[in-house]
Amino acid sequence: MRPREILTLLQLEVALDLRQRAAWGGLLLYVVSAVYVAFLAVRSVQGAALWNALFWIILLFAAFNALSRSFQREEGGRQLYLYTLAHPRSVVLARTLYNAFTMVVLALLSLLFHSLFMGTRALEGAAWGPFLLAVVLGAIGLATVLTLVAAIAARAGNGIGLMAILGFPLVLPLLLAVMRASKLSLDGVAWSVVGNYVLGLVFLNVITITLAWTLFPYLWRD
Amino acid sequence: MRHWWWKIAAIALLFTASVAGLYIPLSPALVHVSPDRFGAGLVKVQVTGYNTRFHSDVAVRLENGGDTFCPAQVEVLDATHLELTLVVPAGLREAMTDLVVGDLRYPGAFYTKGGGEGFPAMDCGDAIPVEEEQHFTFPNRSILYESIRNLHFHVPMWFTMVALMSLSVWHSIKGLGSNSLEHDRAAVGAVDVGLWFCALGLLTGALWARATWGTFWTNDVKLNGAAVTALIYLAYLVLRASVTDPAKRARLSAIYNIFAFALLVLFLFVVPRINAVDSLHPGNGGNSGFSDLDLDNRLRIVFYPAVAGWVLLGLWMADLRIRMARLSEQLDR
Amino acid sequence: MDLLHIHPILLQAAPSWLEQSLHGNGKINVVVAVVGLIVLGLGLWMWRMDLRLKRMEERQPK
Repeated sequence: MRPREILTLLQLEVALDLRQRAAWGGLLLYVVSAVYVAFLAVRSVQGAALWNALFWIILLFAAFNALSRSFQREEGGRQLYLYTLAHPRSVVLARTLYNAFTMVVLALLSLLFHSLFMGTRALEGAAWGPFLLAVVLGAIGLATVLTLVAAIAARAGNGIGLMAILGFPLVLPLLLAVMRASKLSLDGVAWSVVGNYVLGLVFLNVITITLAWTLFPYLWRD
Repeated sequence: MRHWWWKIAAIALLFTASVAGLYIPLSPALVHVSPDRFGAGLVKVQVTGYNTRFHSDVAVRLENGGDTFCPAQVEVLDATHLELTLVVPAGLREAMTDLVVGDLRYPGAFYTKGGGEGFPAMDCGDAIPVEEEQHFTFPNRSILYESIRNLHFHVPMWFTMVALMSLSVWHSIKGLGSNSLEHDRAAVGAVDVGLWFCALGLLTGALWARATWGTFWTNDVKLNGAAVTALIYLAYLVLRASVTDPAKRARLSAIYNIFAFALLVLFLFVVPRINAVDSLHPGNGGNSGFSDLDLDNRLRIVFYPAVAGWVLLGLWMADLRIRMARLSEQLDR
Repeated sequence: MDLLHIHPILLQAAPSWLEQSLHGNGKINVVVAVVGLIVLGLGLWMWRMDLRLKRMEERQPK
């Protein structure tokens, strides 16, 4: 663990992002468009189940979009430079952390748009605390799993298409847990039941980060 | 892996387990009654057994909430059919009434209107076993009946797939540390054969599901796991197809294999224990592994050899596949 | 008292699969023979493939 190195790398990520602000705009536009299409298709959402399902599907594809670019932001030469400067484990940790932060922001914004268009009539009696926790943990989970997958896909040279194919089955179990937890909290179910899923999600995140941390150096060697 | 004994063992185990799995009869059981509901009064009931051998002095009684009443007349139509003439007493206590023929019990065979005070118990004679000799039989479960034999064919597909995917991951791990492509070839060969077993597992499972649950697919934790596994390894093949340089391909696919396998292990074996998931799979509901199936010792005696046989066969197939790949690569040079 | 008047639908005959089990009419022997044949045939095929590969491997220059 080299905290200073990680901190510097995080600053690099922020700087890169600020320089490519258009990318964020594109991402938000993607989310708004997707939500709007869903709204047109469904018109009025009667139940929490459908509301929740649409939310997560849209967020999933937005995640693929957002994270596939995380390893393609610097060109080849600069990546080599980065390789000589920083330890690969710091790189993957910094990228994962920054991606997690990105995903949380994206998830909350997506939630905002979703509520605006789909209305909150379907959400009477929701337990907002657990729901937001589930959303945040799910977003972080998506980031942890998909960061390594994005790295693999970037190395294979194939961008978002390959990343979606590789990432989707890995993300499916996480999605199942998160969708159930969020649906339960939207139904207003007690914390004791949702808590199990939340613990499971935290556990999953920890393991995924550890795995990525272990495997990334092999990927970085090029 | 040149020793031939385990290959002979594979076929021998597979042969005996498959033959036994098909040949061994199911234990006798009562499976159908008609009509299945009545009230107080006179009624004639047809009882159908499976693999039973009803004889003329079979003792029949009906049990309702602790009280017993006997049929007025029992007519043995043939080895598997009885006709009972019942004079149903008025004070039936519970809604469901059990039927007991000899030593076979059909719990909840009849729906009767309960709410009574009970009735004087009758003595219906001793329960003589329906069959004189005790053969070795498989359990006869409702819903499953004869399809329980599928246990010896469908479930080993998954065991074999897991064994092959584990072999593949092991080779992936070794391959990351070494420079030769030998481990990569072994990893992909094992995945190839493993995917075939996955496909067979899905198909056989779908057929079995259609016969017992009425549908080809359902939202069940084991089925989700199977789908995720298939998708992961198909994605693995896609990844390999998109990289042309062999060394890079070996490295990238090894990393994906290890990452995916770890998450898969979590999903298949750990997640079901965290949340209490209900499932249609028999005996499932929090555990995974084959203690799930509520295995009876009679089933185990054929099941374990079947698993061993299929796993060995799968490993043999992977071995052949890997050797073929190695040879064709050498020939291409 | 309405249960006394048995609705005709409830007087269902036993399902047909109960009457026609392969065990009951001895056809299980054919099934066992077929499956046994398939397993042995598969084994034989794999054995021959194994021998063929072994011969090719021995011919390869080391």
